[in-house]
Parts: sequence; structure tokens; C-alpha cells
Amino acid sequence: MDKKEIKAVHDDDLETLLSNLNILNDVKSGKKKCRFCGCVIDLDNLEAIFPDSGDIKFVCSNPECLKQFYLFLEKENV
Amino acid sequence: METVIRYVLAIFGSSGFILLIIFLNPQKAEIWASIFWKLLRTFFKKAEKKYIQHDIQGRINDYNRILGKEVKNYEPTGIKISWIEESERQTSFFKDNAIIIRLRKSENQNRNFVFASLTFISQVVLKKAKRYISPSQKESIDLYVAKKLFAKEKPEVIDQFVNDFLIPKTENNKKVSEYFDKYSLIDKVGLFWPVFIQELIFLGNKVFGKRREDIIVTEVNGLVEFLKTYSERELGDQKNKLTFNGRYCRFGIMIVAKSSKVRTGDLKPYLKYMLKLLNVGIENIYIIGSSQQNNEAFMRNICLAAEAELNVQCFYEKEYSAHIMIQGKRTKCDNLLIIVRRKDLQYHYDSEDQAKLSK
Repeated sequence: MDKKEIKAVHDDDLETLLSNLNILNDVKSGKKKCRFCGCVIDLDNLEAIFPDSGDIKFVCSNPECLKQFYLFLEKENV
Repeated sequence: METVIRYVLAIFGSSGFILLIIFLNPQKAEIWASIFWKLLRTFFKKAEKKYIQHDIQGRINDYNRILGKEVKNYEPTGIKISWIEESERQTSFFKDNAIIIRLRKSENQNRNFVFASLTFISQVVLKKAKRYISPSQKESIDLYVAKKLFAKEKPEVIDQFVNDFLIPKTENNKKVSEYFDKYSLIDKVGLFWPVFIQELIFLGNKVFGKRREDIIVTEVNGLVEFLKTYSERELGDQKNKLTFNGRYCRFGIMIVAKSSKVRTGDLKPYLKYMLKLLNVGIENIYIIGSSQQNNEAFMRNICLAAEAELNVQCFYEKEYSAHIMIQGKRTKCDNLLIIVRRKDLQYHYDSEDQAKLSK
């Protein structure tokens, strides 16, 4: 069976990942927004990150945003 | 089977037997592994991640294996969770162009499972057909497939799924809610996978190039309505139309058979009806009937005779449970479904083919 790889970050490694991507301080200071609803992203509501047009985008835990996120994945065929 | 087990035990011993079981059931073995890691997770950080990973992979891959048996031509794609390396930097992040989902501590494993499953389903299930159907059709199918996955593999996450995803999404989108309800009815008569999803797989495999999305969206709506009407049909009701002759999806349902007809063994009326369907452009004939021994044999005889006399091939068969309407009540019955396909299928490769459809 072919397998689709899905990359994941565990809660314990989230801050390290954001730090490595040079965005931890921005997230902590409320400078990053959800790609779909525009709400402020923090360490609690962050559900996914993905590259888009040379930038790092975030998805919050709002079900409506997750829906938009799934449609985005289908459309972009990520 | 007992003899095989005895031989394996004699030659390879009990450890060989365990390895054989793992070899034959890799998905189940992964679920067992997740239970092992779950026990160790309070002691080792590594075990915590292993538990989350194998629990998700094992259950989704197990379900995929089942789907491979439900639907012909379904190409099962498994899931592989890869944990982000600590060394992940911006350069590799952009180079891989990959999404990264966050999986929470294992106390939230139900939430993790729901999130990872929905991400996976949106990317893998009906990948080809999803290019042509509407957002609410896609979303409702994903939600319904997810609901079935959870019911089979991890029923304890249903509440999480309903509260976090299903209610918010169906409340905000009436269309999604209506589709979801119709799929549920279609599923009651056992035709969600073997006819509805099967037709969408056929659709995804036969349309290429420039296509008419508007026609396809309308057609899928018609397909859902047709199957919903069928699902509400009373046993023996002759009023309902049993053919769907769209531009892309063209199929008929042929119900077999009255016991009197089985007794006489006369295949001719069925072959005549199948020929009539083929003559009006029907491509797939779903032969449905009770899986009782006599009826099953009769249905197979029809297929063999059809292969010999008509331009068709027996494509797939499966047994399934249906809850059909008998005197206004849903009654469980065991059925057999055989898909017969015409050999000269019509494909839609280019804009010229597509233009013909508008005429």
C-alpha cells in the first residue's frame, strides 16, 4: 500500500520548531494570524502550519478554519 | 487453517507464528504496538510519540484495507506520520513544501485522531473525482467517510468528532447537512460504498483534460437524489426508476429475483432487460439480490450468460447487509451485488469530447 506522509509536531516540540523557523517570538507576542479567519494565533490554538507564497501560514483550531484548510489542501494538492 | 497453524508452529515455533500473524496483519500489529507504547508512555518520552503515531497509522491503515475490499478500483493509500526533526529549519520547511500538523499530548489522543484522520481523508479519499465536484459535495463526503472510519476504528472519538466538527460544519452549511443526511439513507441500504462511491471512482477515472465542472456537480446531485429515492423504496415497489442515465454516470440497478423466476431458472428476461439498458447507453449494471444460496447462484448464472451473449464483463461482486423498507419498517437482509460493466466504455479525454456533452 502506498503511503501519504503527513508531517506532525508534538506539543513538546512545538516551541523548538517555531524557534527554528524564527517565528516563536512573533507567535508569543500575538503577531501571527490565522490564514483563514485572521484571528491571533497563540501556542494554544495553533493547529497547523504550512508554506504559502514564500511565507509561513498558520491555521487556528476553529472548525470553520479547519474546513477551509482541508479544502485548501485538496485544491493545492499538497 | 488449523493444519497450517500446526505446521507453522512445528517448523518455526511460537515466535515464528507471531511473526506470521504480524506479516499477514501489519495494520493490526501496528494497533497492538500502539497499546504497548501506551503502557510505556509515562516512563519514556519516546513512547508517548510512538503511541500517538502508531495509534493513528494503525487504525487509518486498517480502515483503508477494508475500503480496498468495499470498492473496486479504490487505490488504498495509507498514512505515515513523520515527526518533525528538531533540526527542521526554514530552508528545509520551504524546500519540502509540506504542511505540519500539530498533535497534542496523548491525553488528547481522541482529538489527535480526529484531526489527523480528517487531514488524511481530505487529501486521499476520491482524489480524482474531487477535482470536479462542488466544495459542499467534497466536504460532506469527507465528513461521512470520517464518521464511518471513527465508528469502525475508534467509536470513543465520535463525540469529539460530532461536537468539534460535525455540528459546527452542518449548522453553518445547509447543503453539507442535507448531503450528509442523504448519504446516511443510502448507506442504510448498503449502497454508499458499492454504488455511490464506486460511481464517483468511475467518474474520476473517465474524465480528463478540460471538463465541465458545472455538469458534473449537477450530475452528482442527481446521483445522490437517485440513490436516496432508491433507499426509501418499499420492497417490491415497481414505481421507482432504476436507471440513472447521466452524461458521465450511466448505470442501472437490476433487482434479482422473484422466487418464482429463480425456480424456473429462466435467464432470458434478465438478459433482455440488460440488453435494453446497454442499448440506451448504460455502462454499469448493478445486479442486486438476496444472497441466499439459490438466488446467489441464479445471479451468477445471469452474469455468466451476459458475458457470453452481451458486450459486458463481470467486474466485481460483494456481499453486504442492507436495511430495506418492508411495510414501512427497515428490515435487515443479506444481499449480493454484482457489477457488470460494458466493455466499450466512453471516456472524455479532451474538449471535443466535452463539447459533445453540451449538445
